[in-house]
Amino acid sequence: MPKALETEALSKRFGGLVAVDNVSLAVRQGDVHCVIGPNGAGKTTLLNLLSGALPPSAGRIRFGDQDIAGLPPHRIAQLGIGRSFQRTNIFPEFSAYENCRLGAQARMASSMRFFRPAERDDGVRERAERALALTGLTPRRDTRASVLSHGEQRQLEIGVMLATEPSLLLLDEPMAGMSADETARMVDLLRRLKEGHTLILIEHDMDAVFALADIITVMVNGAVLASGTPQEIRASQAVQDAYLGGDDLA
Amino acid sequence: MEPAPRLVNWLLLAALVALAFIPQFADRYHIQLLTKIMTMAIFAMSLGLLVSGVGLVSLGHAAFFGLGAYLLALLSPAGEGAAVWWILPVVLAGTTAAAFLIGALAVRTSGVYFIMLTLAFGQMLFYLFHDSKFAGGSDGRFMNFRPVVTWMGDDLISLNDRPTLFYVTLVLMALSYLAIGVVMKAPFGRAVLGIRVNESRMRALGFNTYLYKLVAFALAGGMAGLAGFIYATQYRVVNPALFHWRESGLVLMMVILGGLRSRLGPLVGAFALVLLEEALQSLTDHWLMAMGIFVIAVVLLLPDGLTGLFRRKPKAAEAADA
Amino acid sequence: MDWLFFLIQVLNGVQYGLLLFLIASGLTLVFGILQVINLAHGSFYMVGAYLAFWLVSQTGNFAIAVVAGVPLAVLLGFLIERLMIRFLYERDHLTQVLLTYGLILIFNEAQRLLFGSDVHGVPTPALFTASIPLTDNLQYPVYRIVVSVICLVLVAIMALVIQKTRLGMYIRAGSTNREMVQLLGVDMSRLSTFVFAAGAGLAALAGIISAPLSSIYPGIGENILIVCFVIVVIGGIGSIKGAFIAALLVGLADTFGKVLVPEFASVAVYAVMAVILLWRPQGLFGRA
Repeated sequence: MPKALETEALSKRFGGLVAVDNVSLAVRQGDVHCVIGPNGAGKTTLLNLLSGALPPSAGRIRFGDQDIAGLPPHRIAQLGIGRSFQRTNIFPEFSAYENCRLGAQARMASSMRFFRPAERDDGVRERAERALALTGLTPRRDTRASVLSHGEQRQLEIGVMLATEPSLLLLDEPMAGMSADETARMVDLLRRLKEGHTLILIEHDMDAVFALADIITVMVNGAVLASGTPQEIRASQAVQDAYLGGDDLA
Repeated sequence: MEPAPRLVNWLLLAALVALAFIPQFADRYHIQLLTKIMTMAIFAMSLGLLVSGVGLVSLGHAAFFGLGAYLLALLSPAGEGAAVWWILPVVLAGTTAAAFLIGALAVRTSGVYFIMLTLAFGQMLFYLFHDSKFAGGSDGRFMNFRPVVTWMGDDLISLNDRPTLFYVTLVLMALSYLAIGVVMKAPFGRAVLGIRVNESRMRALGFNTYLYKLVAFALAGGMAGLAGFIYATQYRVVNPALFHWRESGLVLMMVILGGLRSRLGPLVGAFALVLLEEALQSLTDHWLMAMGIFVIAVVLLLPDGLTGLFRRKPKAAEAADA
Repeated sequence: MDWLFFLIQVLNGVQYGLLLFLIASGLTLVFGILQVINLAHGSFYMVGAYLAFWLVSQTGNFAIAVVAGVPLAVLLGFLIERLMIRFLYERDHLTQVLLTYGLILIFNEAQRLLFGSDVHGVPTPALFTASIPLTDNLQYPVYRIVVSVICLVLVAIMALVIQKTRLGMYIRAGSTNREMVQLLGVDMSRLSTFVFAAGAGLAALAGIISAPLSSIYPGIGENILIVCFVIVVIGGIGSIKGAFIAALLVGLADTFGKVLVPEFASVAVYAVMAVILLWRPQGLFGRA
């Protein structure tokens, strides 16, 4: 199967601290690729390198036929890599619809348009409505994002990203702080997103991870400890010892 | 900036019509004063575009106001009025370009750095014109003739006529107001509003936020240049004080006094502040003292400005994150 | 330009830079620790200059101006921090800018009420009126050297306090992470008042000792404030070390600008700023 994204010896150092250490990943097209590991393992930093929020200290990131390492975040987003955040990162003052509309507008060739109302662009409007529908927020379309429930805000976080129509999704703990009900709905949503998207998913909820993942990569102290199918990971003694064996296996 | 509700639009239209009748019965002094106020309103709207549109607090916006005024005065021929057809585009292009250059550096920063950088660049222009002989030094320049609006060799309208200049300014003010409304509804305006609310998210979505902020800064500079153009046309004299950061502070005060959450804010603020200035000046020689106290009182007591007084109280949940 | 002339310009530049540092250090610490942008900081410099003028014209003794003027300015800083700045801690920059802008208007108008719009001068203290002859027609005034020495002594004291004492540790920590210092149980409120009042005192002292070097005029505080903003931006907000280096840089740029490109002297300082910010947008020692 073709690779959606590959990293080669990717590293990020903050002063003396090595947050991401020589990570080489191969993410296949259409897979749900989960990255797990204890807190401080460098998972979010890895996502920040992939999305361009941080420049890598060394290494390469191949997306399609391009090396995207060190590109600014907006360039990477324009190439079709969407990102959702661990801490909900939306536009609290805007309606749910306007949140998604901005995401959809990001897909326009340029927003340097000064005359025609943004609302008249059918393509953008449809993309925004589609993202709302996909995340189940259509009934809350005109509600200010700040007054949505926590679970709804997490869904909107995904919706804003989906409206940009990315091919690769980087998801940072989408289930964080969710109730069991909300988690189930999110797992359902992510499963539907598998159609037509590649997902790189950071998650602490092991039930969700094992339910969704095609491949799991385990990170410890910034480095890859193991990578394989859920069965392989479950069977791996190294993973058991370092991570799954402890109390962390929820 | 929220879209103005329908009722406000009607009231605004009524106010505009009422203003249009003023030259019929007002005296010279009041026509001049109102022309100045409307000029300042355009100036304030241009800064409002930055402050409440993009979230950039500039403390050097007078630089482009002064530059617009100076460009007109310096480029006008000594023996006759410059034709508006070429001088206005040149002034607008010049101020926009200057704002683009200064913005290219300033917009890289944010917060306190941005405030101080715009302040510093504004003062740089102040000193440049203050110390340079070509612009008349600290005395500034006198413009012999106002620009002329001609068609096939005939004067179409005369800017020397006070009521005419009043109407021209009124139309330009209304057009500026409408233009900002259009731009803020267009994809560009939506994008910069998004940047004001959450810039890092906009970047993650794929917006080159630097570019949008820079273009907004340049547009605001050009619009301030337009205000400077009208100012120099009215008074025919320019001096370095136009660049001074006291002017920048004053226009920022207009924006805040009017209220950041309304597109009408800068307009209301300009009218209120200039009228207050006139009233205080007629009362005491030390009116700046009173002005200082007023500024502090507004900041502490009216966080939403004058237009905020007429706004429904937001629900608690909404207010919490505003 | 022969070397002697060059030397004099270097001395002048360094002296001006040291003086600027006295003002800018307070400004940068108020940013760093109180997180307040204080446009009225230059007003303390003005207060110092006019205090020097007033006290010297009343008593004829420059020493009294220093001994009485600095505590007065510290007291003024203390009062302003307690009565106004206090309310700005949690407010946005816009509010801070406008409120301190209002303060400037009040300060300036008070100055006009008390001293009028005339330009004043303060005579050089009798003890230091001498000049050191360098050549037949070149000499260097002793008082300039005295000013530099006073500034250097203050810089040394500040460095000692900040590097070696507990108070200095709080100041260093406070300008990096306010919350952290609060968690350590430090009374941030008192620390803030202290920093603000000390900054006011330093700025006023700069105003007092520079009074005999230049004329005293309305708006003197604003001009120096903008230059100090430039210094803070170049050095990086909250960084004392940055402010020191930037102040010397600006002092030299200004002095040599006046000699080399007199037409554009006042722009030289801003050109330096532009170049440094192109290279490092967060300033020399600022945190990105």
